[in-house]
Amino acid sequence: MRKKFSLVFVAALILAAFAGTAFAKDVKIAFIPKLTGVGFFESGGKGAVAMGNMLGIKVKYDGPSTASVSGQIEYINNFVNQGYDAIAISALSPDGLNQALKRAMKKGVIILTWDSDVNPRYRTFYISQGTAQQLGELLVKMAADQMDDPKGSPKKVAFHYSSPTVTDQNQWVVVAKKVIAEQYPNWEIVDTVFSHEDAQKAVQVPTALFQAHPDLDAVICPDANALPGTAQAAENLGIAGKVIVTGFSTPNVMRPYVKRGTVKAFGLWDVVKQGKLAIYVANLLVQGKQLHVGDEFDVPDVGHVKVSPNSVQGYDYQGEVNNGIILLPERVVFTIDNIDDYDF
Amino acid sequence: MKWARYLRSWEFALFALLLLELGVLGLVNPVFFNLENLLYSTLDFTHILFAALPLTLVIIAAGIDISGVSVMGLASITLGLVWVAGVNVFAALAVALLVGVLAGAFNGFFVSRTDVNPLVITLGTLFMFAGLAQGMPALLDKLGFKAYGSAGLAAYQYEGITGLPDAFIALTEGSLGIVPYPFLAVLFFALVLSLLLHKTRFGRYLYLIGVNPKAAVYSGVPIRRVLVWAYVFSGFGAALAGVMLTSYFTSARADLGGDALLPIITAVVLGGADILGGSGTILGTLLAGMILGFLRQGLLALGVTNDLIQVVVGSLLILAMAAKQLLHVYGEYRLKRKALSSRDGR
Amino acid sequence: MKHLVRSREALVTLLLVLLVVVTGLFNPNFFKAASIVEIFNASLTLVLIALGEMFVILTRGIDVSVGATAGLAAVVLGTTLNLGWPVGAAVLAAVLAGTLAGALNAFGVTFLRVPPIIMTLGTLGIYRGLMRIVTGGSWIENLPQSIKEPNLWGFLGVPFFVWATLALLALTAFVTLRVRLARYFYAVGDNETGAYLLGLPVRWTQFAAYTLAGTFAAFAAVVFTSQIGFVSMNAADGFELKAIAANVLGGVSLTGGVGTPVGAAIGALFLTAVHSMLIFLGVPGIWDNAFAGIILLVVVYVDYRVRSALELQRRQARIRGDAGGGA
Repeated sequence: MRKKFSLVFVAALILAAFAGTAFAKDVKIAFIPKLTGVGFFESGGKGAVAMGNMLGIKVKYDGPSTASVSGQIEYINNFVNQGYDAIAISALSPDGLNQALKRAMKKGVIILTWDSDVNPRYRTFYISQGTAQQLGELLVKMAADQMDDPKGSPKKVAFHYSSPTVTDQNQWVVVAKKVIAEQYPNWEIVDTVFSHEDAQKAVQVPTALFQAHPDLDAVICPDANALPGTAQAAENLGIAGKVIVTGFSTPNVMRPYVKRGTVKAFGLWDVVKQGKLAIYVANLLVQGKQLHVGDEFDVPDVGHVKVSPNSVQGYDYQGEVNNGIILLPERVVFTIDNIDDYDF
Repeated sequence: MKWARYLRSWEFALFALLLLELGVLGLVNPVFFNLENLLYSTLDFTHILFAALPLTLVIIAAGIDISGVSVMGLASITLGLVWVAGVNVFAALAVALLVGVLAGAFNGFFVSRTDVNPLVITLGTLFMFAGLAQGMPALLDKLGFKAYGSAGLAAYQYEGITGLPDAFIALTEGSLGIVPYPFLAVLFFALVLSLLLHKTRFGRYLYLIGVNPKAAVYSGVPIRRVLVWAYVFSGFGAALAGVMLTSYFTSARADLGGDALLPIITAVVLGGADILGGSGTILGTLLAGMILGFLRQGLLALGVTNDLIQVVVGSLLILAMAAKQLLHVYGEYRLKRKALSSRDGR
Repeated sequence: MKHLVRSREALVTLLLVLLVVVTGLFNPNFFKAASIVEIFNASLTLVLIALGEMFVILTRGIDVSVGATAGLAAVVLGTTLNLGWPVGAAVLAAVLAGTLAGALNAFGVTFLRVPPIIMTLGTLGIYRGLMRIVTGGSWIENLPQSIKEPNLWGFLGVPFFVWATLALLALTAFVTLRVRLARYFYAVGDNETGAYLLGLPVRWTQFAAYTLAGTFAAFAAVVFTSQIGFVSMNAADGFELKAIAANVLGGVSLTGGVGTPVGAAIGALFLTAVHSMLIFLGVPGIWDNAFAGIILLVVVYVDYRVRSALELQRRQARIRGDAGGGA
């Protein structure tokens, strides 16, 4: 008797929690981040939902809570089963999602990528913040611009980001290291350290790095945890302002460090706009529009964009129609002068 | 009488719970009852079952192995690198499984030859195997091996190894009717492990070691050998999971499966295994893993957010166990009442 | 001397010191006081969580929700601070939240009789989920400078939080050694039935253990938030396993009744310090995990060998003693 009761209770609980869920038959687009709970992706999600409201379509922002390929696949499969019309995803792995994306396309779902791309065969458009080349160069430029004589005396730099297996950050850093070797042979890369998206480690690791190399000139941190962590470590050790700390992160988390002068400049792109652009393009495709390489159009709140061929990212594959790369109009370098213009 | 015993078993309760869960989720959301989608969704948690099933053996013997999630990545990247080196992909698969066996044997030897707690040992190997998997491409690069890719061997470490042959991808893409191969494989794996646990001396030794290791020593159980084998199975299961994910993701990566640790342990303990050893069944783990897996998939299909799913799954886990304990207490109470009344009757 | 080596925590300390010396010889920068202080500073979060976990393990229980509890407490701290609460009130709210989270575990384990591992696996999911629901999934940023200030206070070049944690550790060590009530943790963990028959409040002792684990996790959250200055959604993710491992490494037995706070703290210090040392040793970051794992394994192996050698020696001495004097 008790057993029956408890089971009924469990059932009632589930029912009560979700009975309200209704299903509309409008355009439904899913916007999937690498992981939820990170300022960068949450802001992208907000942009996506805002564009959805503007267009009068349903946009759902959700994804795995840890950066895991299997988690993303789960979401793709589920959105496909739920009959979504389009999916825009920031892929954790360039090829890990292939099978799930292939199944989605077979079932008529339009696939876009944003922030991190997949193999171009398995998506229509990639809403890109810039090529690995552009972003890697930007990392080096931001560090060099803060030096008095970047090409003069010997310099010591280090890299600090999330992990040796994360795709995009490694691609940028590979470019950055190549740029340093070519243009700044006087820079010595003393170490490349990782904090695995652990905020506590993101402070501990650069602390040890600064102490092990007291003459370090710059730390380059293209990761949302690593940049504030390194800035905090510099402040804790009382060397803020004496050492260059730069990289990629969101303005809101970096604002206090910029205001105090610990971080003079860091970069990113406007991820809110990226989210808006992804949803706008997805909706165009759902409505049946055909886009070709070279097409140009205006997007409200975002600006003028152009469809580029896949080759700008170094791919060989190029589909006839509805396949290519759409670059965000600009990347932003945040400094004390412009940081208050951004809220994400 | 015997039937009543089956009906009162924890496995039966789990089975009922699974049916109830599928029923409720299906009623709330008819889309969920699409059998093809339902079976396809097992692909998203078979890797957890592959690792959880043999882990049950280890936990029954009062051990624990948390290094499995790293073995998944290690097996995957090994498979990829061996294949890149020009070996047939199925031979590479065998090498990957062998790596899992060796990793398990390493754990097993360390656990059985020292008195160090297996949690600490496998935490050490969790780090070590993950580190090896991450560093392997770079290491091979340093050793002077050549790569076919554009960015060199080291790029495999973050881009993964792709272009695996279709025959290998078909392992997870293919299905018998509408039942995906991996799900069949997991059922077969469960059957084998179940026979091993319940029908062989090895299985009885595991329980004995878990209940009372001293008694096991004095009754001449080859404790060391039994333990090593338990960990070997665990490593092998994790490698199977890694291989399955490699096929499912169509790419070999050093970091896949990293978030599966807690779901794996949850499946084993919900399945009725005592973390301090001595109890647990393969069937229980299988059913618990399916309950948790389908629950997650079902809630996702309802459009419940990930955050809320965590809360719901956690609450149901506690409620299910609290109900079990309440029933247990009630059962004892009834037994005592019965005993008292029968005495009074005389 | 021998007695000292025989105690588990002393042996691990010795090995830790050995590692420090090796690292220092390799990179003299490591021998600077500031470097050592920073390692203490970095380990505080784990030390505090491990101390709380110790009470639970002493009673033969286990709590895998401590990381999530710390995360939840950090969210409460950050949210209340950004609502404009004074630091004191916000810290109090966070500690209260952590204690409540611990008490919920305690309730489930002692009164609903849910096995500890299931109860805390369940609340691990619940607390992590709640964290994100409360914050809407965003990091808590732009915290007032007042919460970061305590991290900059110092005395004799040692940060305030290090002193505070040391004081708390000393207090815990004293209490568990000398105060009768605190000995109940050991009694219950060593022999639950025996403790019950002796008339000890077994349930309430267990209740206290889980609640304390929550409180200590909240302390960790305060230190963590002050040191880092923002609260990310995966704050203290995975700390539960590290905290358990720290305890075991420091000689706290998972089968209950054995272990000391100092041991737990040393274990936590060790697990944190390894990552810093590897940077001083110049090990490339890509090998960080592999080396951390290998060092951990080597240490527990050496520890095992030394202990078994000493044990052997002790037995032989006893046999000789018995044969000679008959005593």
